[in-house]
Amino acid sequence: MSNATSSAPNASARAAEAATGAAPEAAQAAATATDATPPAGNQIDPRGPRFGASITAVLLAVTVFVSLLAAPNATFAERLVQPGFVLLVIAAALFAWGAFAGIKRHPYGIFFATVIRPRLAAPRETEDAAPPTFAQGVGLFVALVGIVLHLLGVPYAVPIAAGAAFIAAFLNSAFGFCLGCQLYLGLTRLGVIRRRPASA
Amino acid sequence: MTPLIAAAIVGGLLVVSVVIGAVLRARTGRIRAVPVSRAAAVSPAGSVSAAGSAEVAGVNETVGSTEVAGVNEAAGSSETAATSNPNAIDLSELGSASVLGERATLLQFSTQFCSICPGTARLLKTVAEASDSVTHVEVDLTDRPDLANRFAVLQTPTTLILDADGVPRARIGGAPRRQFLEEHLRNFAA
Repeated sequence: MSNATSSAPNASARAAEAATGAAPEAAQAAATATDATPPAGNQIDPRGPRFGASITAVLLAVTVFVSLLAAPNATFAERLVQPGFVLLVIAAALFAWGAFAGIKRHPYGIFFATVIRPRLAAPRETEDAAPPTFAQGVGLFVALVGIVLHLLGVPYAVPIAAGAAFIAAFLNSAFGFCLGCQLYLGLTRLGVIRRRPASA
Repeated sequence: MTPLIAAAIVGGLLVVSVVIGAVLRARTGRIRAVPVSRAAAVSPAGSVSAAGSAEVAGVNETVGSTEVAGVNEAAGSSETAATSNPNAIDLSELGSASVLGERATLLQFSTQFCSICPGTARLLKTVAEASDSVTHVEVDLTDRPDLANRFAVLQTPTTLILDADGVPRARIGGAPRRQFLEEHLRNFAA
């Protein structure tokens, strides 16, 4: 879960701002885009992550389907090349890309920004890149758990991990579900995520 | 496993996802009253949370009863002793320089990993400005799991509606629905 700390330098500045109790004026000003120019700074078009999540959801649904077809009693060498496992590794690599390079440098994000966004009207508001980047980190964690358990020979590790990630990606895509909203405080309260204290 | 069964499982997964999404959508943004008597009964040390879990109770001890007692004296200085409420929230304890609204305060808890929090802040600010003697205060819990524990906040945004004394009267999990919120504030006791 180290991704939670990766955006800390930027995040701590906002924490200092928000700690005053006033609504973050800068975020508010940046959040009202009026033309079709790409959002500045760490702000993104909220439709970008939802677009990416729909592709991810399809990939994960295919992963669940394919991995369920795999032969149950495979040897370690056979498990390594099972199509469902390979697809989950690809999904994990894409999650890692989003979590570490940032959602704006993710292939889906670049595709959205260069091909799709210019054809759409300007968004009503932009959002910070930190929440979807956090969600990518959670996706990476779930996929990695599936990969490790599969390599250890745990049956159905791949479809279960892919299924869990699918639910989150589908909810994000279809319902605008925000994993960071639902999960972040629960994880910090359980002590799973520890951030270094804000410099403020 | 046959392809037919595998496809059925994928289809079932899709159905489960839709049901979860529908339930989340139906539950989010509802205004729930904070049961005052129960909150007072379970939190002698000054917790404002209605959730009487052991976790919250443990945090209460660290809040410190002397600190809370001092707050109560300040809050209840013009009142009789009977009306001073141990559940009253002192905004300065939350690291906020804001003061309570004369009639109500919309206390919003956010984090930096919450994509809908800035939109909620704009909504609450607009509603507060349009309402009589209501203020909006936003507190960032990203680095404050202690406050998340104290107020039993699991999701963001979570909004507490405080009365004039700073006592939480209602709680909204998720993005508030404007119409319900405005109606609630119109009927909110002065």
